[in-house]
Parts: sequence; C-alpha cells; structure tokens
Amino acid sequence: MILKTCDLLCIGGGGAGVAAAVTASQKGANVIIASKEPIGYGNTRIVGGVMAYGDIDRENEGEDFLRDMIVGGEFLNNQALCKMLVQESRQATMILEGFGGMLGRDDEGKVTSKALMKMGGHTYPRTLLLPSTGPGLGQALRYAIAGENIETLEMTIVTDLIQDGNKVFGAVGYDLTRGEIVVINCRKTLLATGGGGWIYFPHTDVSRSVTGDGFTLALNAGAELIDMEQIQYIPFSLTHPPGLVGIVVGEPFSAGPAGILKNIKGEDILPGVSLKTRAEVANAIILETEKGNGTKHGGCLLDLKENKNHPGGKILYDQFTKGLFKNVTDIVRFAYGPKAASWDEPWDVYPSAHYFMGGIVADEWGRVKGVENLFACGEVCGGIHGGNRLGSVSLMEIFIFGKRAGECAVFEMDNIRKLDQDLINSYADKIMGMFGGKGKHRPIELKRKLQSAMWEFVGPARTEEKLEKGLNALFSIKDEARELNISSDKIYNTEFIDAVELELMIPVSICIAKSAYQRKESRGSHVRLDYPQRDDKNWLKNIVIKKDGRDGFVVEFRPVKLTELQPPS
Amino acid sequence: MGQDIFIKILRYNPNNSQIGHNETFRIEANNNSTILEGLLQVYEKYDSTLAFSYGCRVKNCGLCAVNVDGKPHYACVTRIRDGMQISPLENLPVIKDLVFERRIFSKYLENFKPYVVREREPEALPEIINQPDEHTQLMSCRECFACMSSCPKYDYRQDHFGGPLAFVKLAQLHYDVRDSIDRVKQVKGMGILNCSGCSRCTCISGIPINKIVIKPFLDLLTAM
Repeated sequence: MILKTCDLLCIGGGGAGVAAAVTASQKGANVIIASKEPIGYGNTRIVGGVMAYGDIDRENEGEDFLRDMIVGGEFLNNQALCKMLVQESRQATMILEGFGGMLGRDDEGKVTSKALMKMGGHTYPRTLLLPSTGPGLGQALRYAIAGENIETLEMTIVTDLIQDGNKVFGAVGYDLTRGEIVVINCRKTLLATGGGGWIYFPHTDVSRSVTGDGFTLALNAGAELIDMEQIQYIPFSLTHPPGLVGIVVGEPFSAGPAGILKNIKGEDILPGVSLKTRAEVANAIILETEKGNGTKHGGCLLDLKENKNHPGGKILYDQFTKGLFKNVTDIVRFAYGPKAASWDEPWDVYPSAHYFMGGIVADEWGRVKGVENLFACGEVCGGIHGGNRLGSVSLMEIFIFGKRAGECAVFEMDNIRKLDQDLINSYADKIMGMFGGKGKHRPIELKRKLQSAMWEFVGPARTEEKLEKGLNALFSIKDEARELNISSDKIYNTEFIDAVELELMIPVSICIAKSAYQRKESRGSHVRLDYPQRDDKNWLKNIVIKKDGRDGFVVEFRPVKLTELQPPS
Repeated sequence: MGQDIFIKILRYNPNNSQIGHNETFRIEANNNSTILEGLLQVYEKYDSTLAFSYGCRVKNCGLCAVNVDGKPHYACVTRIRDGMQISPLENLPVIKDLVFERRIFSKYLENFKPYVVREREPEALPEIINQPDEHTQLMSCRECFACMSSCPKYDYRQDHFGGPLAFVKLAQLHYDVRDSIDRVKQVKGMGILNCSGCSRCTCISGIPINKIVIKPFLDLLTAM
C-alpha cells in the first residue's frame, strides 16, 4: 500500500485538473494529481481545436456572449455562473498560453477579430483556433505539470473518496501498473474527471476513460447532481463501420453555407443547418430517423457537394481537404471512401454523445454544495450550460474554473485530519476483495449491457416507456454487478478496471434516467417524443438529484433563477 | 457480413511469467474492420485479461499504437487482415501484453526542463507571436512512442540516448519563440550525434522527423 499526504489532491489529468493543480502549486500548496491515463491523454487532448475568446472590437460583447449562452442553453443555465465565465473569458487564453500552448493568431501574430471564427449558436465570431488541435493542448498540459513541483499518480484509478460525515479527507485508488493500493490523505480534494460520454459507447466521440467516475464519487460523498438528463450530441458522426461509430466528422458550421441535411427521400430536413445549434441539428436528425426516414445505417445524409460551387463553401472545403480539418477528411475517406472525402457523395451521419451539461452542483469557486473540503471543476460540474453548450465554450471554461478552484482551495486550506488505520483498511479491503472474484458475470459483459441499454432507452429520443425500461435494465445490471468474475492478477488487471468503472457508471446512469424521466418536456438536448414541446410554464426548473441512504435517490425541482435574462413570453 | 480470420497477439503477463508467447485468436472481420475492432472482439468474446490501450478511436490520442507485423500502426485506423501478428511497440518497458510504461521516459525528460522557459515575462497579453510552421507541426505530435519503436538505437534502459521522441519534444521548444534554453546543446547531451546517417525513425502521425528535427539539429551541431 502506498500512503501519500498533500494539501490538494486533483483527481483527473485533463485541462481542468491541471489548471487547478498548477494554480494551487504556484500558490505554494503541495499538490498531487491522479489520473487514470497519463496526464493530458484524456478528453482534453482530443478536442476539435476551438476555444472561445470574445470579440475584441465590439462594445456589447459581454452581454451578447451571455445572451448566446443562455438562449443556446434554453434558459436552464445557472445565469450567475454564466456571467462570471463571460467576464473572465479572455483569461482562459492567457492560462493556456502560460502553460506553453498556442492559440491562433492573425497574419501579424496578433489576437484580433481577424483571428476569430463564428460557431453555431454564437451570434458573433468569438472563437480562436488551436493550430495544433487537441494534441497540442495535451502537450501543453504535460509541460505545465513538468514545470511545477507537482507529484503525479498516473495510471491510477480512484475508487472512493474518504469521508467522515459530510467532510472529505482524501481518496483511495489503485495504481494499475504497479498493482498497489494508493491512499491519499489531504486537506482538499478536487474532482476534475470530465463527463461521462463513454456510458453511451460506441455512440460517443469521447475518450475511453470518460466513464463518469467523478459524478458518482461526488454523489457518494453527498453532493447534488443537476440536470443530468442534458447530454449533448454532436450532430454529425459516422454510422459505420462498427469501430468508428460515433466518431465526429462535423459540427453544424461545417455543413457550410451550401450544405444540405437530407433524409433518405432526399428532402431538406433543416434549412440553414450551418447556423443552428448542436441541439437543433441533432434533434432534427433524431426526429427524422424516428419517423422512419433514415438510411439503412440509421442516419441522415449530409450533402456538402454544393459548397464547392460557393465562395464561402469553397474556403471550408479547402480547410477540410488541406487545412485544419484534414484529419476529419482522412477519417471520412477511411470509413466512407474517396467520393465522400471529396464531398461528391453525401455522408451518412447520426448524432454522437459528446458532452454532459449536467453534473455536480458547485459554486463559482468550485466548492461542491453540501460536502466540505471537496471541489469540482470542468465538465464534471453542472448547470452553467443549461440544456445545450455552445461550441468552444467548454475549453474556455475548464481553465477559468480550474484556476478559480485551485485558488480557492489554497485560500481555504485548514488543518489536515489524519486518517486512522481502521478507516484506511476498510477501504483497502473493499478493493482487495474485488480481485479473484468468482461471480457469474465478466465486468465487460455488464459494461456493454449498460452502454447498450443507455443508448437504446436513455439515449437521444426518449419516451416514458423507454425510460422505464432503461431504469429496470439498470437496476438489474446493478444486481448482477454483485457477482463479478475478476482475475486475481495485481498488475494491469483490465477486468478490475472494468469492474471499478462499472460500479461508478451505474449510479450516474440511474441519475440520468431518473432526471430524463422527470423532465416531461423537450428542452435543449433532452428530447421526449411523448412531450415534444418546450414548456416554459411548468419546466423552467432544474432537476436536482442526490442520494438518499445507501441505495435510494431523491429528486428535487428548483425554479431557475432568471437574474440576467428572461425567456420571451 | 464478416468472415473468420486469424490474428496472433504477443502476450506477456508479469503476474505469472517472465517471457512472452504468441496466442492465436479467431475473429470475425470484413474489409473495413480495424485492428482495434479485432482487439475489442478478442477482449469481449474470449479473454478480458488482454491488456491494450486506446482512447479516442480516431488517431488523435496516441494511446493505441502497436506493432503490426513488426511495424508501428495505430490500431484504431489500420485495417485488420488474416494472419497479422500484433505485438507491443519495441524498445519500451512492457507492462502487460500490448501496454507499455511511459513514466520512465517522462522521468528521463524531466532532466531537460521539458516546458517553455522564458527569459522574461511578456509585457502585454496576449503576446504578439508568430510561431514557425515547424512548431505547429511538432505540437501536433501524438506522443504515441511509435518513433521510439522504429528507432534502431533507442533502449529505455540506457540514459545516454534520448531517442526520437525526446528529440521531438525538445525540438518543439527549440522552435518555440518564447523559449530561452539552448535546446541544441541539450539534444547533443541526449546523444543525437548517433543519428548521423540514419533516418529510420518513422512518425505514424505524419511528422517529418528527420527533416524538421534530426537534420536541423545535426546541421546546427556540425556548424558549431
């Protein structure tokens, strides 16, 4: 067993966790960062390469940005958090470049409005490109950690937070490659584990490690999760071959000025597709295929051909074939062939689970509501994006909220509480007890069962009946998960990894299904076929869920505080 | 639909063996199937102790590089064929099956300040910067270690030769206009002179390592 002590433990090695860790370290704190993968090899590394900045030359940018976020989020957003984010928007750029990352510039090397692009749902251009795309960002995160005196626990999966009542004093994990239990005793703990898109595998574009661990760790500690039903789909992803299902090949903007989204009959199903939000486009495809107008692979057709005869469209085509999005073209060619890659044949597309708008309830300093000593930042937090996140905003968010959480954790440092050996042993025994399990079920079998139930019943097009089936499936998987078959190998035991992740995936999946069941309207990314309209009269409410006892959950409805902007009546 | 093919996977389990052995699996595949699909099939159907890494499934993350018939490839975007031999990347410390340890290299690299070290803080933010194209290209490195596998000289047990990935990492900083450290001196210390006359390291992500890393460094060193 490896025992560690520190001021701040950051769980998660993506942009949010690294920003918090580096900030706290620079302020003198003794920091440990734990990550399932090597630091910087998770979801932050595979971003499309866009980050919101704000339009420099416009007077009302702050108000416009705020309005875009709230209108885009269909008024479910926590408006106070949005306001704060917008006010600090440009800081994100400075933080990333301070790490050694690089954002796009104009021809003179300056960040001016010439370097900005406009993405779907934004009324003005305010997004910078990352010239080296996601991998450049991943490397900047590794630079940042190497440049500070931060201890890294890579390939370490956290299984539990250590707590007494509503106070957290550290975490227990397992170093997968060394095959040893790790116990970290700390003053403050921060969750920066990202979202949970892998719950929908293969219909997702997230990294394999994004299994929603932080949601469940927080729930178990007594935290609240807000609006878990709001899961963002990127509208255009591959529908085949099997290994590439869910891989994203475009955003609304990449439909271009002359691109057309068609059903199998060739009808235009969403005129002006390139200017719509992710939710609007994804929902159009979902509803069209539900009507039976989809392709044999279950998708719709994105016909980009006309762009080649359109001045603006031609620029986009060049970006896809020679420029920044060349990688996308490579993958389209690999999956659909050369004619699709040259836009002469339409692409078969369906939405892919991309981002969790819902998550842990935390304040503007990342303090988790209801749990002392626990912080959270990044995608694992909920509320700021409401029902739909605008493109390029989350990359900005992770750095701003990561920095704030890191600062606050240091500011509020208090005495450490030593863990007694009995408590440590009880957590360690639980982990060791998993090895060599002789139950009926292989963990991967239940993991796949959960993923397919989540996609089929709690996926993009929901009904009361489907959600009931989904919940039943989840409860039976929960029962089956008591009897797992796990090899007794200590080093890099993949069945153990699956088992830990499965155990963490079940509660968060139940929360998604329960929240989706409760929201009897369609809003943002939550589409209910049995309640197809948005219902502002009854549903300008956040759905908050937390644990009640060991196995139960309580659901609460809280009216959204419309302090900055009201929906049009 | 698919047809049955056979693939060989080099297995190594540190928990009960000192040496690796080949294991053959029958999987169902069609012309479009990828190696990653094959590995997942083995894992799901037959043996969930098979250790392999992957992340994004679309050659962005750099986690799934493996040797296929002796050459490095991304499992996610390489088509699978009957008779293929899949093994871990070469020259690296294997943890189990196809998974190798990256921390030893990270530790080695830490000796060279592998991050931007500025002489002075910028006066105004955001800075006015024109980075050379090489910098942008090198920052898109997947850090997948395939170049290390294809290098005839690199061995993780020996510190006197950093290997192509170390040279790429320092070249990123060499081209970064913000960085102030003499990276040329550092790569000399890492043994880059051994690369003279060799250009066998390959980047499976398309970075021309020899052209923008090895050769410019060697030229600078011989000009000194």
